[in-house]
Formats: sequence, C-alpha cells, structure tokens
Amino acid sequence: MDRFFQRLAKGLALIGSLALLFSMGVTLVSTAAKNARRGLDGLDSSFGKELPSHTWHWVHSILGEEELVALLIGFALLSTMPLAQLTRSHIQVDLFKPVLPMWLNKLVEFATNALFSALLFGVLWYQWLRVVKRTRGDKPGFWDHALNLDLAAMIMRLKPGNTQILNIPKAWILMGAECLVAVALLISLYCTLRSLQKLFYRKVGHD
Amino acid sequence: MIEFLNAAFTDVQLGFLGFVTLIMLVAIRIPLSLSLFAVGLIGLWLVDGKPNGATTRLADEIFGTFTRYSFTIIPLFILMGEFALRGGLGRALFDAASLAMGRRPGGGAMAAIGASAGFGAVCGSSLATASTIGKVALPELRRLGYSGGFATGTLAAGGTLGILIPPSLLLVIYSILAEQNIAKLFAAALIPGIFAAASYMVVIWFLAKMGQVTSGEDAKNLPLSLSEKRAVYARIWPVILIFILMFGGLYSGWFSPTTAASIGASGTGIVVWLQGRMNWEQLSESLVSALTTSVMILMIIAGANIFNSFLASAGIPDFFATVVSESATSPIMIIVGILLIYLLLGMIMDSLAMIFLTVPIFLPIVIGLDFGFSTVEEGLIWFGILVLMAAEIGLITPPVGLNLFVINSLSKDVPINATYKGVLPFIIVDLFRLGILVAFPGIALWIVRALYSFVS
Repeated sequence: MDRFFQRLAKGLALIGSLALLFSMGVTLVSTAAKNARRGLDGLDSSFGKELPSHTWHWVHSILGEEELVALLIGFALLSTMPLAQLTRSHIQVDLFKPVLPMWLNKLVEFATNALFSALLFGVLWYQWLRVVKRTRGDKPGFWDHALNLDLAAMIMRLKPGNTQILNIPKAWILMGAECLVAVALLISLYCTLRSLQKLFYRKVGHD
Repeated sequence: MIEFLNAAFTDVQLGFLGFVTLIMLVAIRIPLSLSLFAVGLIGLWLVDGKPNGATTRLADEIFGTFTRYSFTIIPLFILMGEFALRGGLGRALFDAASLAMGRRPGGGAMAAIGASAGFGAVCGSSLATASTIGKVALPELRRLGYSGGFATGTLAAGGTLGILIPPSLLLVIYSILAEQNIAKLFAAALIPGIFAAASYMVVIWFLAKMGQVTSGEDAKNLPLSLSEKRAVYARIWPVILIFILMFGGLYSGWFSPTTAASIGASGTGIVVWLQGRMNWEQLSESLVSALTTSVMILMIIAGANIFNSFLASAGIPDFFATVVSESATSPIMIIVGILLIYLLLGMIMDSLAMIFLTVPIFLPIVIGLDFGFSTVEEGLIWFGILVLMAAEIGLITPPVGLNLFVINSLSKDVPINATYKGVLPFIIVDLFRLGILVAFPGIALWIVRALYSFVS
C-alpha cells in the first residue's frame, strides 16, 4: 500500500516537474521573441521606409504567456501536493517535541493528518461548487448525467466562464485541480490511518 | 459554540484569541500552514457570524495562490538554488575564494564567507547556503587548524548571506505580504548584503590578528601556477554571468521578475549540465525538491492570506496602528521595539514563520509612521530590509538558530555550545550593522533611488 502511494505521489510530482520545465521554456522563448522584436523594430526604423513596419509582425511574445505560465506552475504545484503530504514537507516548530511524551507527539501527528484531510475535503467540496451549476428542483444533476454517460449534458452543467486571454473554460481547469486535490486527499487519509495505527501500536512497518 | 463565542467576545478580542490559539497550535507542532488555515477560517466564521466568507476563501485560496503569476518566481528561484546545490557550484566558489583570500590572516574562514556570498547570489535560501558551503568548507577549515566552534560559527553566519544577497526567498515572501516591487527590494538588499559579507570578514581578520583564531596553515594550500589559478577562477564565471544577466535584465527593463527567475534557473541548470555535474536523476530530484518546497511555502502563503483576512476583519492591525499613533513614542523607537520583538522571536521561531505571522500586523503600524521618507514605498522597502536582517540574525541566534543546527550536524565532534560561542562575534557585528541601517536608511535605499525615481 505504502509503495503504491509513494509511486502515485512521485509519478504525479514528476509530471508536475515537466510542467515546470515547460513553463520555463515558454517564458524564455517568449522573452527572447519579445526582445528580438524590439531589436528588429529598431533595425526597421533605421532602414526608414525601405522596410515596412509589419515585416517582423510574426516575431512577438507568446500570446497569453503569463496566463499559460501561471497555469502550468499551478498544475506543477498541485501535482506535487500529494508528495508533500506523504513526505510531511510542512514547516513545523519543533520547540517542545523533545520534551513532550512520545504518545503526545504521535497524537499531534494524527491530529495534523486528520486536520489536513478535513482541510483538503473542504477544498475539494467547495471548489466543486465552483465547477458545476446548482441543480434546481428534481432536475438531473451533473452526476446523474455522468452515470448515464451523457457527456453533452454533463458539459451543459458546468459553470460558464473562460480565462481572459487563452480562453480556456475555467470549469475544465478547476476540474483538473479537483482531480489533483482528490489524490492529495486520498494520500492524506492514508497518512491519517497510518498515524492512527502508530498511535495504538508501537511498531508499524514503514514510517 | 460559534454563536456563543461571537456573542461573548468583541471582534478585537476574537482577533487576539485567534493569535494566541495560532501560537499554541504552532508550538505543539501543528504545521504552520494548517494552523493558519484552521484559525483563519474559524476566525472569519466567528467575526462574520456566518460561514459564507470562510467557505468562499476555502474554495478559492489554494488554487488562487498556486496559479497567481506574481508567485511563480518562488518555485523558479528555489529551483535555481537546487541546481546550484546539486551542481557543485559551492566547491567552485570556495576554491576561487580560497585562492583570492587564502594568504590573509584568517584567509580560510574569509574564503568560506566569500563563497557563501557568491552562493547566495544564485541561491535564495540560508539553510541551503549554509549546508552547501558547510559541506565543502568545514573539512577544509578544520584541516587548516581552525577550532571547531569558530569554523561552525563562521559557516553558520556565512549561510545567512544566502538570504541577504539577492535573490532572497524571504524578500520574495516579504514583497508578497507587503505588496512591494521585488526588483526594488532586491536592489535595496544588495548593499546591506555586501556590507554583511565585508563585516564578517573584518571580524575574522580582527580575531586572527588578535591571535584568537588559528590560521597559520592558511597559505599552505595555495602554491598554484598561473594556469592553475586561471582554471580555478574559470569555474566560477558562470555564476557571475548568470547573476549579471538576471539582474541586468531585470533592472534594464528587459525581463520581468519571473523571466529573471526563469533565466536564473535554466542558466544554472544548463551550466551544471554542461559541466557534467548533473544527470537525469539529479535533474528530476532538483525539480521535485523545488516543487515540494514551493508547495510548503505557497500553502503557508494561502493560509496566511486567510489568517490575515481574519485579523483585518477583527480589526487587529487597525487596533495596533491606533495604539501606536496615540502613544507619544517616536517612530524610530517603535521600529527599535519591533526589531527587538523580531530578535526575540528569532531565538525560538523559524524565520519564515516569523515573517508570515508578524509582517501583516506590523505593516499598518509602519505605514502610519513618519520617518521622513518621500514616499510610503521607501519606508516599506527600508522596513523590509530591516525585517530581513532581523530574520537573518534569528537564524544564528541560540537556542533555535536553524543555521547553527545545520552546520553542527555536519561536524559531530563539535558540541553545540562551541558553535554558540563561535557565532557570537558575528551576532554582535550583525546587531551593530542593524543599528547602522536603522540610523542610516540611505544605505539600503541608495541603489533603489539611483535606479528608480520615486514620485511623491
């Protein structure tokens, strides 16, 4: 079980790493193109009327670069959240750890994992309300359509709205985020069970 | 329960109650991000009297923070440090610094400081700088005959240059909390950072001259030919080039901060790759490690945003600002008081946690004070540098100076008390430097004023 979650979390983090690398590439290419255009425009003006100003129109920064980079890095970070959860990569102040009894430290660890699970569940739930329209009366909702595999009706239930420049439907982006938060929640629940087990048993396999 | 608390306490009282609860949660080892989320969300619910505000923030905050363009520099600067860490740039910098300073009294220790300053220029983390240069320089310093405590103390102090010399992760965090221009903050940190490195070297030179530091062996490792010297210096040119490219582009207006961070990270990665110091495994480790650290920091930022909204709704910053404005205390004494709080907190708290918890409270106070600056922005930049320096001192102040533990863990034979003693001269010079910066804000603001013109 532990190995499965380790692989899942690391695999997602590696996919996130690729997104981070890609975002760097996007920034670099866009900046190079933007500054090349500046230079070419300068060159253009030095030639006077011999070269029309639209000669270099195809050299420009990537349209929606900032939005794309922000989304890619957001994806990278959300993909790494399960690994951060599994490896307990959170800042803790260990001021009293050495003086507190072992059982209390284990209790705190359990409480931490349980609270994280509750937080992630809250995020998952309330973020979902941003993805789908509220169902009124006894009309079929998103999940009813999903059970009937009615993709078109499912899409109709999604909240409208696109990103400003790239025009990507926000609901699709949030659905992607929901999937990654769901994995983080799953791993957090596993960590909660593991810490509960540690609380009651002295020796538990993998830490 | 919610109704009872809402009726029993005023908003300001709830704010104080929330702050005390947060400190207690953090003290019993609940992660800072989780504590901020928990107290912030419940606090918002209590102050509003209904859960709507809290649930809206819960739905938006993590996704919003992770996808905010201005925060994208955080993973990129961390990645740059990871590449530098794994790519052996620390060794190259230490070798070059040894060559430049090794013959002077205390030259070995001065070289460690020089290497830390150089590493700080490509890495924004104090702990990473301390551990990287520590691993390279500690055996060398011991071989040269430096006492264990002085060697560890020097390296712990040198590590703080990682956050003082731009790019600095703590300054990035401050810029987010204070909504200040990161490029101006980096410019403002440059002179205090160089000043810090120089003052550490003066301390070492002075102690060596006084015979307090064993350094007789310093010159023995340096009989290199001219071509060998060139080879050593050639290994550090990429660090200088990346630094110049990054900040040159940033201040000439060619790059945005995110672009500068992207260029820094990719440039460092390419350099260590070309030097054959990085394979696929190290590349993936660097990327995953940078992302994991970033998740940790951005979760704290998201939690801090919610917690700060709670404090603002409860009227805590306004309360403090009113108390301070009604008191007859001079602005400079208030700054001294705030810095004393930072120095005390630094003894027991992680610098990142300290900044997240205190800056939102102190900021309205500082904004309300008149220091004679032409703009509020100048005051906030100056305050940011003071906070950074106070946090830096916290990293080497016992009992919870993290740098001390990082370096001490590298040298098992040196007792922690010896490290405490070894770092003491550096803490004294740090306090002196902080005093100078409080008295002469122009030291921090000179470059900023030269690069940008402030308009009242």
